Amino acid sequence: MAYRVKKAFKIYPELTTLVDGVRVALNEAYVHTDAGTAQHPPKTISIPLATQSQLKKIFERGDPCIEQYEEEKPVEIENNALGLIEQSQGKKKTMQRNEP
Amino acid sequence: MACTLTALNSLTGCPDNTGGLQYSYVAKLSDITAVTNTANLITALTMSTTGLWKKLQYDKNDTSYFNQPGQRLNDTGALTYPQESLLQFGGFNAAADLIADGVADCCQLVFLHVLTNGQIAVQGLEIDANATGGFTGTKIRDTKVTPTQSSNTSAEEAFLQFLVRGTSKHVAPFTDLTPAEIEAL
Repeated sequence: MAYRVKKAFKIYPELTTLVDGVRVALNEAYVHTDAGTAQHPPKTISIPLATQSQLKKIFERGDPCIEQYEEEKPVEIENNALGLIEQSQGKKKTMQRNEP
Repeated sequence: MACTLTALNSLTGCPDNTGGLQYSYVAKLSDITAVTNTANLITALTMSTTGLWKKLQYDKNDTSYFNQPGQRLNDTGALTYPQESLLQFGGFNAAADLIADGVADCCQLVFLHVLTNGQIAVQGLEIDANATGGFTGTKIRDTKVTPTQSSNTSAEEAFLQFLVRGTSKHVAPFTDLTPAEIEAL
């Protein structure tokens, strides 16, 4: 199973939360510039995109932004299909060899 | 919530009953995208971007408070909680003017009040599992700031006050997010 942001929350390109005290972006990585104040100079910070394991934690804590979904694996299916064909061809060859 | 009675005892265990607020954080309701909670305790927030919680450090002069006195229509009717907090900042100048005008134009605000006892109460937001993101603003009346500037006399202090009012259907939730986590959001 994989995890992703629900469609309703895709409208926020800089959707942000904390996981284990670390700030992460949920839709895409971005750079944020803090305007600064009289006490603090401006600063630029990069917010990394959440990994699948971080999304899993966010989902498991009950965050309504994240959903679980079944990953599509077209390449593996293709390989499996190819494997089956090769297997069946191999069987045929074996059978041919065993023929008197 | 269904009718539930729970025993309560503040005579033993010495609960921290120090009143007042230490400082607060404020953000626009529209900048909060999702709330995760357990039994009215907010355990996580998701924001539309980072750096949206602004820290409010007001005077520690026994003036700041956050109250929510429950009231029933005609004594036994519908229950609501008019929430009110007062935050007082020393000074009277042009910069304070701009801050006052800016905050006054916000229609729906959320405050995280760090109480003197260390707990963090959330004003301006209600948990609602059926709402998108798991929350709404205060359901009866939006939470807004009414700023007041007073020069007062030379025997008193000049200040800018934020009177924050809204009316909720339920008591304000708390959060277990730490101040460091709120500032990191």
